[in-house]
Amino acid sequence: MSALHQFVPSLLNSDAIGSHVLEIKKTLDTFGIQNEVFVNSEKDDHVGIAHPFLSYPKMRSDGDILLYHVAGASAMADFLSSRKEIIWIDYHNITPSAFFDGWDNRTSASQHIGRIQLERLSGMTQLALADSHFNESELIDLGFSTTQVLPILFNPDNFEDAAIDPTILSQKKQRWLFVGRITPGKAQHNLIRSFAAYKQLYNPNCELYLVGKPATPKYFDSLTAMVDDLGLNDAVFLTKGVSAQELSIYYQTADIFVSLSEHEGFCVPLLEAMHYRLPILALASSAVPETLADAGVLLESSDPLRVAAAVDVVLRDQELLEDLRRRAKDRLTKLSLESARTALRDLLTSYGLVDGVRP
Amino acid sequence: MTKDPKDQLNGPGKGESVPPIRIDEIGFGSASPSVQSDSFEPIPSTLEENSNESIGSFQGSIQEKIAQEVERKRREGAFPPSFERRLKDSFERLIPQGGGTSREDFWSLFRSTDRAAFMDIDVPIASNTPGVSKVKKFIRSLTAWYLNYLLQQITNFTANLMQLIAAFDLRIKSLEDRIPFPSESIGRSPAMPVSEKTAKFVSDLLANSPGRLIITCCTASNILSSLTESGADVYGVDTDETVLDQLQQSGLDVRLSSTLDELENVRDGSLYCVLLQGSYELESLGKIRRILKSAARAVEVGGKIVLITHLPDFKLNDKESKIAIDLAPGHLLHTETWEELLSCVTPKLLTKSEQSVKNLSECVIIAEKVSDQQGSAS
Repeated sequence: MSALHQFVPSLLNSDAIGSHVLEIKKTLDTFGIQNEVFVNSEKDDHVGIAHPFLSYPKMRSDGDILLYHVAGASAMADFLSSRKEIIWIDYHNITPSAFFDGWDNRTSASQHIGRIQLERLSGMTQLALADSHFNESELIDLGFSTTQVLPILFNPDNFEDAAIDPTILSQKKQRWLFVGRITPGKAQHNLIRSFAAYKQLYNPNCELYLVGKPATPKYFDSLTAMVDDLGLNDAVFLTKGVSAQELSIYYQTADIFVSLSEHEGFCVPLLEAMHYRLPILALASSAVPETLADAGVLLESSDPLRVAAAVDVVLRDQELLEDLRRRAKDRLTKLSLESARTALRDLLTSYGLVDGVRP
Repeated sequence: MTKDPKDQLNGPGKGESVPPIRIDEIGFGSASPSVQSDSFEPIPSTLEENSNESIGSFQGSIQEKIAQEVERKRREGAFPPSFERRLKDSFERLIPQGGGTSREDFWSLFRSTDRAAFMDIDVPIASNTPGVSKVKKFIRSLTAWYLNYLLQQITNFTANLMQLIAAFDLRIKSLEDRIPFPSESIGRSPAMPVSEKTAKFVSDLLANSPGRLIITCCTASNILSSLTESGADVYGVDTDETVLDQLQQSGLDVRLSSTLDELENVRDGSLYCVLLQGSYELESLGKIRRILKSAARAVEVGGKIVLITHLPDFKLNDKESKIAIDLAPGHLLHTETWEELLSCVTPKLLTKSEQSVKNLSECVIIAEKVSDQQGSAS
């Protein structure tokens, strides 16, 4: 039977792609498909799971399929381009380089190279998977001939619910939450603007939590300066990396999840917010509408007044809040781990990997 | 029109917001890349099928509530343009200038590439297995002549490549130096004044408009207040928050926005008329094209684009205006040029110019949208 090995530049339990890779591994193990994970940089928490990708040639067997997870530029792409094995890719999206121009020109150049590498892989890839139809359409535009959508394998059990300090809840503050790397494409600056408008127009007793790693230092510094300039130091909190337990607390204590992100290939935090039954308000950009569907309110623009008004409309209407919670539950069922595993199993079966017969 | 892959490589510009997807156009359920209008991102489909209508109607009903709330707050004057300006400026002043040309970043990347270009031929021969070290040493000696030969060529190539990149950078720098300063960063294009006679002419022309009107650069004339008084469904945009605050307090519907920003974010065919006046005339030709194109998209079939223009012989006497006009990104154009521009940019418009006010070196050009189809000029 063929082996299916995964290649991912960085394997971190705490990020969406890392969790997805590990869930795929679990699923392949369940089906008895031989598989290994190869990484560019081996992290301590995955010693024993992942191998350096340059060690693959020593471990190869005839008939191997190499599944490359693409989210940026990587030396792996060049390595895989030179291999004779069957190549599959799983495209998690590469943020367009222009989002980083001026903020982080190095990342900007790297994203550009990532897309060039991706385009080069189009001619040698047997199957190109994508998290969303949005991502799939990019692959088709780049010349990939066989594409298929495989949703992110999202496992809510990865969250460790923690006891919440009762003093937090007793403060009776209204809390906005956004989770995502601090980077220009996620447009946290528009969130701060909208929050400032809401605080002034509707409720002075509110807080905004921006949870995520500062991936673009200049942008992070600008947000800090912006918060200072608007006099919001006691209301807007930029948290750096948080543990799974802390993240869970942020979700449990929030009143609403607001995303004004301008570029998402799938947006796992939307699923996390659904898991915690949070009402969601999100800018209808990139893949957000198809991930969210009717499990939240989509916004046509990041205009601060419109966003502030939308938050008020949602939080004021108990009936709507209940309706949104019910819709989020339904949506999460549709995007459940089981559904995604079934989709993966069907895919593997269609390529003869589950029963060992390849068409 | 499907999106050009090259556009996806480029993405939006720095500080330029990405046009979001419009809620009423979300193509729920389609598995293929969506067809879309010129001005919006591709519309993705959902992961599941069968739920187009219910999702659309659910989102639609909430959008209506939000729009009503926005309208209520605007009417109350709770969101004054000066506050909106403060929110905008709080971030925009922090956007790095120079875009992708930051020399500090470039040289940091250059140095690390230069380090990576160095190749070490001295292959490590240590081994924990007895004897293997000697074998490795033997192989190294045996292949040294071959590796040396290859390395010499590779080193020559990388050294030349790095020099080429450095030379390329110098050429770009000399090009940058030739641009004294980007004209659009000097300041705003000056708002051209509108005479009372022209303002009255336009107010009378649009008084009984059957749909919504937008007055751009609305502080340049009193047309907004005249039309509001006559009961027209009209709002104005401008970037002068101080004057806008006053206009809002006097009951006028005003927004803090530039002409282009507003027109690019207005729904297709949602306006009866776009009145262009003030500073648009002195924008660069590229920006003027975008403004005209957006205006043509925003008006309904049968609707109008009205331009108040000034002929090239128009003179302003005060010192500040003279300097502002000289340093503006563009210059005043003849009526014939405006008509030509309108027909080039949007062939679906039928244009005519009004002679009645030409004697003031001002001209009113009226263009009517005759079709939604490109190329159907009458």
